[in-house]
Parts: sequence; structure tokens; C-alpha cells
Amino acid sequence: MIRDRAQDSPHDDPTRLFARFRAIVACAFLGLVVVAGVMITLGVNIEERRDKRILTELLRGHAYLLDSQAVAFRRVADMAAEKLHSQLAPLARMPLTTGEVACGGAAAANMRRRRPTFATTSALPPSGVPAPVSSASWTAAVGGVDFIAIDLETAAPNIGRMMFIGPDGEAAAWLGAPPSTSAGLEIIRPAACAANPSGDALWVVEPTEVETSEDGEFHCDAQAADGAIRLIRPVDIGAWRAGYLALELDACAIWRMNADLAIENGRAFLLAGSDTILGASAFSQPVLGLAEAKGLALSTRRAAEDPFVQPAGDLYESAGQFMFVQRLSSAPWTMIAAIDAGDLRSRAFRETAGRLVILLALIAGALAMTVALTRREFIDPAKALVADIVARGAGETPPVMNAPPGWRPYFQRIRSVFRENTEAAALRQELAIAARMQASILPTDFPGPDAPLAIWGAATPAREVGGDFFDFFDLPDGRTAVVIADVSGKGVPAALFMVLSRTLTRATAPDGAGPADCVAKVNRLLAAENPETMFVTLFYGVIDPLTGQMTYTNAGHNAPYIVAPDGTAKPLAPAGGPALGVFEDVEYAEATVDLGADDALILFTDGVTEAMDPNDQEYGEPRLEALLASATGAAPAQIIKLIEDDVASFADGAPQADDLTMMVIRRQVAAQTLKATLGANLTEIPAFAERLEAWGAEAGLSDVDIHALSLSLDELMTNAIEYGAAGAPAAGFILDVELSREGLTVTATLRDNGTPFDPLSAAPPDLESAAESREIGGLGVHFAKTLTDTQTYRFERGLNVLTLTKTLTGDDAT
Amino acid sequence: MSLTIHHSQQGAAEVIRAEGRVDSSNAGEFEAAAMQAVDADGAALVFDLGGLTYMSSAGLRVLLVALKANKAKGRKVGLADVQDNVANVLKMSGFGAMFTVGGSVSETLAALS
Repeated sequence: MIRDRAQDSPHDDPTRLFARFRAIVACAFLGLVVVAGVMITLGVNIEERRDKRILTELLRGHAYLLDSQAVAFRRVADMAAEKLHSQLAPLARMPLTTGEVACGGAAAANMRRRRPTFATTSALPPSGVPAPVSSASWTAAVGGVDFIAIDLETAAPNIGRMMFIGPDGEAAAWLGAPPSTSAGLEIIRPAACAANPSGDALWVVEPTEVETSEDGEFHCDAQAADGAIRLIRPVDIGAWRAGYLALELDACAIWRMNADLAIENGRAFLLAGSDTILGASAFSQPVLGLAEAKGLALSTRRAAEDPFVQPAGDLYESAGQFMFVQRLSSAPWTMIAAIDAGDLRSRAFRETAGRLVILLALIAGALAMTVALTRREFIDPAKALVADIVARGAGETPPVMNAPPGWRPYFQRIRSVFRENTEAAALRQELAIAARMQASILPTDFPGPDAPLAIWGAATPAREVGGDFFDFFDLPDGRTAVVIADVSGKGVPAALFMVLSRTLTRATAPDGAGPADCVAKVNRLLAAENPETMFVTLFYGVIDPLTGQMTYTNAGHNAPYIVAPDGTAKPLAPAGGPALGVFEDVEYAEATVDLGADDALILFTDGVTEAMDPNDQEYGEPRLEALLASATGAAPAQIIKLIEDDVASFADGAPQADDLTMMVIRRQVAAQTLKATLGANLTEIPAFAERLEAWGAEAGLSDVDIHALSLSLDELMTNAIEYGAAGAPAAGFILDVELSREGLTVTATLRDNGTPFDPLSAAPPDLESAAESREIGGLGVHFAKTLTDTQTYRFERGLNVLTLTKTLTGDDAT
Repeated sequence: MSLTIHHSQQGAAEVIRAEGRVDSSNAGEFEAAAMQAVDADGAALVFDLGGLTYMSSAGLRVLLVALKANKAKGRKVGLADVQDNVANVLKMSGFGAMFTVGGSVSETLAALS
């Protein structure tokens, strides 16, 4: 069975046992992967924002740096213009002269008075030779006013040269390095003329020749970049435009400023106008060129607006690039930057995901190790244990298990418990068989309720098998033996001793000896070989079903009760001796008691009277007596049921401590009645006689008693029919006969509706005279009077009623 | 149990064997058989009651009638092989003294002669 179940049921298959564990582990791994994905995405996102913020700050800072450079430059120009203004003011009071108007007459309106012109008093110094400011020429030019007191180096670090140009663009004076070629002046003059009439400064930028090598280093030739970036400021005194101040920035310095900016994966440019590059950041790998960056900026940023007039710089994405465009506030320049978005992101990914992936890998590794250890230390041993137990359950002997040390005590314990369990199950099965066998020993075929002795018995063992038994059997002399016994102890030993006791009692009983001798013999046999010194209390009674007389002996057992029909319950007088099986040579006494009609003999073991309730109170004899008093008239089976129910309700769930065994014998007499009705025909008498004989045999009457009754009734019935039938009513003569036995007495009643006549009143017959003179009459009544004990006649309600009683003799005495 | 009667001669004696029971319902049969034997020529009359288990006073009346008739003819009447119940009835009625009661039929015949 166990094997079949193990194979059929998936739950018993040890290989499938830990699928749940595997599922949990798989879920944990899956969850880890999902968490890792989310964390990496979030981390990369945060890192990217951070990178963009840093980048934005960097670019804004750079723009601010460039802007401050332009501001400083303008401040120097203003300071210089201030000084020029104060020094040139006296000239304004000089009379106007006629002459050509500078700048091709465009400024004619401004030239209302002719002032002395500035003449170039010295040739330009040779190329490449730095010349100090010529005080003389400046003096000459500006009327002896030494207006140059500006320290160029400290005012603005990147100013290369300052020039003053006359209003007609002719005259010029300079500070700092002289222009390398006159071409420089040629460039400045038209620009100066075009300077804003309102006096604003004008930025003029010449493309600078910058060579950028392959490795991103740039080479700026300061001489070649002659005055590449200039700020031209008109100098007006009142309505007179005295000239222009031109400041030249060191283009290479601007380039250097830009080149000092390092942007990873991107490049920044400084533009003047829309296409003149003032500078570009260094780069380490090929990125967008200016044209592409500018094109992107133009095409995407706020399409309707001019990106180069937007003052605030922001990073925005376009065509795979992060773009940055910012207009400077102090110069008409724009900073533009493009950073490869993919590169930035992949860098962010590398930075973030790298760390996270390492962390997650560590966690996954730890998890995997936990799983592996759990499997090795717990799951696999548990599997092996299950397989081991399944195999043992199937009756196989599995190979010795190699369990981890920590498990060994538990394995031993589980295995031993399992083994004990298996053995206990086998033992229980054996006990169940024993219980069935024991139950089969107890009588189950009880006499019916109409039998002279109605008997019922029941045994409820406290354990699987019990030590109590009850028994009854017919003895060869027609009497019935009844036995109830209680073996000391419980369980299997008691059961074995019980079987032995019962068998010996049954074997000894038919010997013809009385109960005392019989019990003494059983005692000798039991005591002879009783190493365990077990003992058995036993009540043994022999009942004559006809007379109700019981001879009994009680070997230490609870005194049985006799319950009379009126409800009185009395214990049997003690007679007997000690329990059986202890001492070999014991004599037992016996006593006799008469069971009256409908008396019930209650045999029980102490399992009844010593039943405990939950408060450890005993059931006790008084309660049993009271219960029995209420059981008047009940059949034996009903009485036993009554006691069982009462004990159960008394115990109220408390465990049954001892075997509960009862047997009830009830003497049935009331049922032994014979009734017959005859008409006015003597030929019905033989049939009645046959019925009477059959009834008498069944009611336990002896042949002599049956004959006596048969003859008495025959004579009286014959009389009634022969002499009274004629006087019966027209409806016809009716003769009723009724016989009943109660105890040792049989009562017969004859009722007829014939001529009223008392047969008992007739004179006794002559029994002495000789044959010749003998009269035959009166003999029948004489017989009836002789053979019965009492005879009464009465006439009541139109009926002759004759009543006879006879005490049964049971022997052949006449 | 009904009554069965056999009438036979043994030597000079008439023998009536009755089996079963004699009561008021069948005493007439018994009487008829007895009177037939009384009328016969035998020197003695013996009732063989070995098979008779029951006899009421009605049967006693037949025996008394037969006895009286035989005495009138000077013939003796014997009862052979009487069973317990019938013997009891004879005893109660005092009839035993009026008859020659013997064991077997031949013993009774011997006692009669």
C-alpha cells in the first residue's frame, strides 16, 4: 500500500518536493534583475542630469569670463577717452578752418568749425621694432598736452595697442607696439569713419589666422594677427568730433582663453557676428566643426528667433548634440557649444552602471552562494531524508545516508520516531486483531426475551483488549451457568489471563460439581502457574431456570444486585473467597438465593462503579442502586443500555479508566401462560391435553406435574361439559381454561357459562367398598383435589369459576 | 394420542390390549371392546395396559363395569403391565385392590389361575 501511494501521488515524490524552493529562488533572481534595471536607469538619468548641470555651469562661467574681458576692455577705452577729452577741450575754442571734411564728407555736418589737424610727425617705426610712445609727436599732435598716462599693462592685460586717429582719419598716434604695417591703419580708418555718430563704441574684428594642428594645439602668431580685434570709440568734444580712440586686443590671448576651456566630447566657439571665430576650445577628439555647430544652433533653437541675440545660455538637445548658445552682454559676440549627447550619456552610463553592476553582481553572488549553501546544508539533506523515509515506508532498506554533521541528531531522531511509529502501527494492527478475537470469545447469541432466562451482556474495554469477560452456558443438568470476571491490570496481559480464566471456567463447569468446588479447581489451575501473579475476581452462579434457584460463589468480585419487580435492588449476600490465581489451596463457600418472577440479576465489573467524572468522583454503588430501581420491568439489554448511558453521562467526557462489563439475567415467568377455549364437545379434550403437555415441558414442569394438572383439568372439564353444557345460554357453551406458572406455583382457572354448579361441594367418593357396590361418581373431583394444593369455586357474572393451584414438586413423588 | 385396542385370546383367557390414552372422549370405544370380551368364552379377562399412558375416571368406569359383569359370570379380571400414570390413578381411586394387578400378561394370567 505504502509503495503504491508513493508512486501514485506526486506529493510523495521526493524529487518534486522542493520545487517551491526553486521557484522562490528564481523569483528572487528575477526581482534582483528588475531592481538592477530600474536602479541603473535611474542612476544613469541622475548622472546625466548632473553632468549636464556641470556642463552648463562650466559654459556659463566661460561666457562670463569672456564677457568680463570685454567689459574690462571697454572700461580702458572709456578711461582713455576721458583723458583725451580733457586734454583736447582747449582746442575746441580755436576758430574753425576750412578744409576737406574727413571721411569723404559724410561727417560734414559735424565739421562746423575747422580745427588744427593732427599731422603725422614721424614715420612709422620699422616693422618689428617696439617703439616707446613718442611724447614729441603726441605733443605736437594734441597741442602739447601729454595725455597718455595710461598704463596699458595694468589697465587691461590683453590690450595690445592703443591708437588715436584724427577726425579725418589722417592723423594717428599710438601707444604700445607700433602697427607692423601701414595696412593696419588702412583697415582702421574706414572703420573709424563708420563709427557710430552717437558716440557708441564699435567692435571691429578681422579674421585671425590661426593654425590648429592635428593634435588640437593651436599656434597663434601675434605679429600676424595684427590688430585683429579692435574697439573703436569716437572722441567728441561738444559738437566737435576730435577723433577716434582705437584699442586693439591681443587676438592670440582671446584664442588662448578659449583654448583653455576643455570640454569632454564637445567644443565651444566664440563668434563675432555670425561667422567670425574669435576662439575655439581645445578638443581631444573629432567633434563638430564650427559650421556644423552653427548650423545646428541656427536650425533648432527657437526657430523663429535669432539664437545669437539670446542672452541666456541653456543646454538643449538637437540631432544627437547638446547645444549651448549664449550672447555676451558687453560685446556683440556669441558663445556656442556642441557636446555629443551619446558620448555624454555613455559616459554617465559607464560611471553609474559600472558601480551598480558591480554592486548587483556582488548581491547576486551572495544570493547564489546562499542558495547553494541552503541547498547543500538543508534542501539536499531534507530530500535525502524524505527519500530515505519513503524507501523505509516501502519496506526497502536504503543505503546509509551521508548527512551533514548538524543534521545527524535530527536524522537519527526522525528515523527512530518513524521506525517506532511503523512498529506501533503494526502493533496496533495486531491489537485490533486480538480485540476482534477477544470479542468473538464473548457470547453474542443471547436467549430471546421470552426464554425462562433472558440474558444480555456487554463489554467495553478501556484499551484495545480488555481483562473483563462475561459468559453463560447451559450445564448438562439443564441449569444455566453465569460468569462475570475482572482480571487485574489491563491490556494484553490481562486479555491473555482473561482468555485462560474463561477457558478453564468453561472446561471445569460441566463436571457436575457445585460452583464453589468448580471455582476452587479453577483457582488451583490458575495459581499453579502464574509467574506474573495476576489475579482475577470472578462471580460464578448456577441458575435453575425452572425454580429460579441460584447457587453461587463470589471470588472477590463486586457483589451482583438482584432487582425485584418492585424496584428494590439488593446486593447478593457475600459467599465465596478471595480472587483467583493468588493462593493455590483456597476453599470457597457458596450460597443459594431464589430469583423470583421478573427478578433481574445484575452482574458488573468495577469499571461501572469506579468510573470517574472529570472531578475524580466515583460513580459508586448508591447511584447504581438508584438507577436500577428505576429500571423495573426493563429487558436485560435495556437495563445495560441504561447503565452505559448513565455512566457515560456521569463521566462527562472523562477518559474510561477501566473495562466496563455487565451482564443482566432476568427470570421470565409472567410469559408462561397457556390459554384455551373449548366448546361443548368432549373430543376437544385430547387436543387440549397435548397443548398442556407441550406447555408444561416448555415451562419446565416435570412429567409427574404435567400429568397431575392434565388429569385434574380433564376431570373438571369433562364434568363441566357433561353436566353443565345443557344449561348454557343459547349462544352456546364456552369453557375457558388458563394456566400460568409463577415461580414454583401453577395456577389453573376454568370458566364456563354452563349450569351453575360447584363440583367441589360433592361428597367424597367411596374408595373402600367392594366392587359390586362401588359407585363411580365423584372420582374425577377426588383426583383434582388430590393432585392440586388448593381448589376454589365461585360463581361470578354468570360464570362458574374454578381455580386450582399446584406447587410444583419436580420429582416423582405422588 | 388416540386409543388403539386389540382383542385376542391367550390360552383360555381373553386379552384386551389398550394403547394410548383413555379419557371421557373415547371411553365409549374402550367400553365396547371390554364388553365384547366379557361376552366371549374365555376363562379369564386380562387388560394389557402396557401401552396406555393416560386414563381418567372415565376409563376407571369402564374397568369397573367390566369387573362387575365378569364377577357376575364368575370370571376374574386382571390388569397387566400398568404404567406409572395409570397406576397412580388406580392408587388414588382405591381400584387397585379390586383387581389382580400383575407384571406381564402371562404373569397376570398365572396370578389369576
